[in-house]
Amino acid sequence: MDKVPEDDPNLIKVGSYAIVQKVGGDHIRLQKLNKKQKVLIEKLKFDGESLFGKKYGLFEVVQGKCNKVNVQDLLQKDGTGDLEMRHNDIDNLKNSNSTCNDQQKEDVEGSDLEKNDQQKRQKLTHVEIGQLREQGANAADLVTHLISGNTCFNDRTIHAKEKYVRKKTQRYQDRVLILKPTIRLITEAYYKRDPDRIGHLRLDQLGHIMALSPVRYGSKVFVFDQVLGLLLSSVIERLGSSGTCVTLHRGSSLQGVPCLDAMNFSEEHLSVLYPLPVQTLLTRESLFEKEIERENSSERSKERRQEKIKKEKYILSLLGPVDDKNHGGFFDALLIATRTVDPIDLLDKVWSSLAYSGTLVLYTPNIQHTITSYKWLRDNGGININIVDSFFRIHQILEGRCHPLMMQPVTGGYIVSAIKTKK
Amino acid sequence: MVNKNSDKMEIIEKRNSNFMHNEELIQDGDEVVVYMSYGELKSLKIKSGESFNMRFGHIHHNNLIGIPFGSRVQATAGFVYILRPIPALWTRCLPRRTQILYTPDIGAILMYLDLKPGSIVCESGTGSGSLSHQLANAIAPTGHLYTHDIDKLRVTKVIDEFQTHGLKDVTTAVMRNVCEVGFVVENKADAVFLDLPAPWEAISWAKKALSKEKGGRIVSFSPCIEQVIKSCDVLRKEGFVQVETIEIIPKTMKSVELFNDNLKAFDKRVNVFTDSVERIIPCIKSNNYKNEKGKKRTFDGSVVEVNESELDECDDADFSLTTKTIVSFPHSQPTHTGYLTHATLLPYF
Repeated sequence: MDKVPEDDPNLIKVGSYAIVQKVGGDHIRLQKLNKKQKVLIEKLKFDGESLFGKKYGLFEVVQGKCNKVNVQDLLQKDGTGDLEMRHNDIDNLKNSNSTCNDQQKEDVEGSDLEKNDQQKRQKLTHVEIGQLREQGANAADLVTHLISGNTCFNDRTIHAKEKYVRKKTQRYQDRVLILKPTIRLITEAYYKRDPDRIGHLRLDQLGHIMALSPVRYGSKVFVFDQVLGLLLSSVIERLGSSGTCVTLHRGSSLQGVPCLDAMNFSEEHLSVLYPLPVQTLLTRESLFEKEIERENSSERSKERRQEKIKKEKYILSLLGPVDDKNHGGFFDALLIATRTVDPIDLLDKVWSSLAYSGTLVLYTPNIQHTITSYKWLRDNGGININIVDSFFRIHQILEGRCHPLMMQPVTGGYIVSAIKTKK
Repeated sequence: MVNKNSDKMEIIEKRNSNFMHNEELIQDGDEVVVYMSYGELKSLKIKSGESFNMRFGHIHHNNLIGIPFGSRVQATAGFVYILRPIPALWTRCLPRRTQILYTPDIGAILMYLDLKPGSIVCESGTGSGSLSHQLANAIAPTGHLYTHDIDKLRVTKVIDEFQTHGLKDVTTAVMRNVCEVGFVVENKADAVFLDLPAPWEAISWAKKALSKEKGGRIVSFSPCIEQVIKSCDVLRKEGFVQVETIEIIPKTMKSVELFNDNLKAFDKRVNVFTDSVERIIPCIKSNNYKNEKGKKRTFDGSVVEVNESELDECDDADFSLTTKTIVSFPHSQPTHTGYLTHATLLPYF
């Protein structure tokens, strides 16, 4: 493989974030890759160190280590036309002459055999399967052995055979995707694993928020994000190093925002970000200016404090007046994604900062918030007020077997959008 | 437009507002969105001297020049709001030349394509340009959208619209059948979107358009499941991974205030057909059981005298108990737009 430059953003390094997903697997995980760390995804375990120095993409796990592989090569080798399948000509996979009838005949004679129906069909034991894996058998080999050991395989329909093979291949799958994080993948990872922490914000709803608001390169946006930074990161990415993004946060500095960390934005991208402490918004006074300067602070520390004060005062100058809600403010868009904060309190304090014909988009999993916000917006110059909920389904698409998945996450939230007008 | 002040030699030049540039005030030549009522929006190009006619009367364009976007404007028979055009509003008021995609699907597509400023996107077909405006908005100013359609009129119309909306520099619209001759770029795109009757015929061309070194994303929109089956099969054979098909069914709602009677009020209430508080004039909300003092209507509509003790009993009921909730509105809404199939092409070379 060619030698790649050290600063290639597609290179996996110590400390890189990665999205981990087995080929054909349900689980999708966001993980920071550190030294001497094992990665586990759906019972597939491998050494994280074997990824360093390689590019994001598709890997094959061989005895606990990752080898980079190419999709086109695999498709050619397997000959199936589907990366999730390793066997073709499934109908003729097994040549054995044994049948169910023979097996049942034996059962009658040998009374001490287990009567478990599943065990009767499969000759291979768990121990034997484990031994095969220890010896380095890959998923294709394992499935071949399972088919050979299955006494009733030949009696199944072609669909049942294909379903069996697909299921076993997925179960023992040793190919894994290690992908560079995008907001799409991070959102899916959190939604599947930890939806409460993102207020059950689904990817299509995050997209809907971004489509409703006029955020583009150079826009001026006020963001309140209580969904682990998914909305904030979407805005920063869309601004593309130009524009203004003021975001509200607790405490004295913005830190520990998972999606922001995982996206690893450049300094140029982050230059549009202006963190605003809640206390500063409530008092309209510089929080850092009020802090007593420490006597023995270094020159560098003093400089940083001055920079913070300057930035904070700039943000305060962008905010609209406290006493005139219908003031035409600075921002083109006001984006709120709340889990536990009453949006009315937020609107009371920042609505005057929104420009006329600017757009508010509010996401909330709490239906009560939509009711109270609707009335508040009507009373304060909002028009084109929409409340949207949506239903989302994933479909299985396989020849002769198409249907929506029988079980999948159904939670989501509500989106309220409005445009501010001059009264 | 140039403003020259005799006291100062300063010259201030203003550009027309469009999708990519905001001015606070409306100028001659701007395109605006007229909001007449919920669900009723119209786009309008401001021309000095002209007037705009609608069901709330008419408005002279001269009265709109110089006022801020977002203003409420009195027309001869009502009032309207003049809004700044943004892609989401454009979707609601654009001239239709084909069936279009709506904002919930557009939102998902933008996410599934991993778009950001600088991305190179190929789209086919262009249609009415609803999605095209959102794509261009998301990738500007350093990215580029190449949009393809087989119909000459659609291509020329969308070029005009891109020009008006300030998106000309980041878009290229061509007349081309991508199922036969492919896209205008090769080994360059970050994302491909297909809204075609036979998308499976375009997928190998889409793969050629995508960058080999970086890989990319593809999304296909199809109303019929048979189209999806063929597309998924070809995607897998061409080496795309993470092939998945989804559908989105949005539901819009509104907040209403409803009566929430206790049984006593229910028993005494005469006007049983009024369900929503919004339809009741507030000043008579609490008294609608009475026609006049000392009298009330019986079930057959006749009016009888009421003695004092019965009247006191009626006064005991509380007729103003209400509750706020949200209900689906309008009554009939889309239950299917199409399936979205998305997939990833990993880098290969």
